Amino acid sequence: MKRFIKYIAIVALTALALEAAAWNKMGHETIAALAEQNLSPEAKAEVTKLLGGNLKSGAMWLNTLRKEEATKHTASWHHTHLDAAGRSTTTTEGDAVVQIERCANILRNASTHSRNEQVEALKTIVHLVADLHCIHHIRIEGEPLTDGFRFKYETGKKDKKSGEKIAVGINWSTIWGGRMFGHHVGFTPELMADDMALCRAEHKEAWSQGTPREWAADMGVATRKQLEGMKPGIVITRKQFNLLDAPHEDCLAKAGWRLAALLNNIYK
Amino acid sequence: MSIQSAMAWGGLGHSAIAYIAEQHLTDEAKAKCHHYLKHSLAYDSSWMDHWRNVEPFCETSYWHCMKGDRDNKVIDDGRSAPLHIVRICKEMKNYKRLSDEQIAINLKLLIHMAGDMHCPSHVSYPGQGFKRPSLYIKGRKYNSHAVWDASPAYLHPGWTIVDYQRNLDNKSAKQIKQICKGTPCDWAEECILKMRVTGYIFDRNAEFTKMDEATIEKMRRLNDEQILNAGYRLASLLNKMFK
Repeated sequence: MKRFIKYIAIVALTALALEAAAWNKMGHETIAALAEQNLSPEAKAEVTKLLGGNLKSGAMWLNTLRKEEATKHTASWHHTHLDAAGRSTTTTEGDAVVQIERCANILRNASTHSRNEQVEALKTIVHLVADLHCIHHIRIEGEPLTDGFRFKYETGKKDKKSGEKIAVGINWSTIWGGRMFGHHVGFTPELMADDMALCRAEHKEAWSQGTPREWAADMGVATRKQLEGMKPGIVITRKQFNLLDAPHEDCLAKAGWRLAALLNNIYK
Repeated sequence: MSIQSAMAWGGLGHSAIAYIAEQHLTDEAKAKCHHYLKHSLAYDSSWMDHWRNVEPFCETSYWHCMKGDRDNKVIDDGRSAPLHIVRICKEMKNYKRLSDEQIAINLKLLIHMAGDMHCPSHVSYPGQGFKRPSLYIKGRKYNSHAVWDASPAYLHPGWTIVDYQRNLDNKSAKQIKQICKGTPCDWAEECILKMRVTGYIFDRNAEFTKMDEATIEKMRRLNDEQILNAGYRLASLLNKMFK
């Protein structure tokens, strides 16, 4: 019986881990800070008016809703669903792109919506444009690995007794939720945003173009690229692990610039 | 804390040193560093820790420390951080002849080693062994190495690198000039001499949370001074390199 309870506990904890939130706080706030730096004066004024502060102040709000009984249905909004061809075509409520489009319409037609509806729409957009660029929140039809899995990475150290390389287990979701921030300790979201702008400067214009559906398709391509050669239980080298910094930076820069582009377009 | 203690100065110490350095770069040095690194100095400050077990960088795994002799002079055992700093600075005199990739690697090594040579736990000298006590923080043991690797985090809980810079970076131009006077080997000698006293700051196996404020203040002063000196000196090396 004890063994059975232990098994159930492990399964439950694993499921919980695989369903972990998208970006961590640092990720969401970095994306919001990067967007803030790129808002037009008109968009910045509207954001300040609605939020009473900057975009960062509303970046984590949507995560609080999923924990409330009355709003727990919003938990499904955080994922983006793509068809087998990698296109975003869904119209179901439980999808990040659908919710971004709904909220963008509220902000575009502000006169027909209450101030509170606008505030919630803005906070939802800030959060979901970030989630849309979180690789483990992209679900692709026919790609079961996008539901999450565990693998191992070599730490680079060897066991003192056996001499064997030490590898530790990690969730796919943990990597893309912000594990790579552990390589760059002590940063504020604003400083991290400065770095993302610096390291991907040449892509800024191109990455700021398009619609949320096109961004979703782009993230589908990025997700498939990261899943190449991956499978549950696989052990990746320390070098492969370190190289995950670069796609992580891509996601942050794209999300920040695209969030600014969307808001600038809404408030032009 | 576990991530912090795994590396020299922890990631926080290295980031703080690099961030302070960045505030003291000339426009030209800053532009060159950004051009080659594609990042801030702080972002790449722990690169050397993350790549130390990956070929072709495994050799650099031994370059994080330094040993002093009885007169506090750096011993050249082929592994000494300050001597590799000197070598890299010499190589960078003709940096335009190097590939962009090699320049970026040299900068990442330099940023990290300038920090490491100022980290109390990365300095050793004859007769030091028994003087290096462990410390407990809330019951968890930190060995003599981890004590100082983790110190930037536990001596200033919650500080970001911006807090480090705002609170510590307050020396006058004259004072900074004095701190940066000399060569990396001179700085190393000063650090070795200074570290000879670190063993006496706190008692062996002391519990940090029960330590008296005067002792904590001594630890904090050493931590802060080493981070600040490292930042100023790193900036001076880079400014000379790219003038």
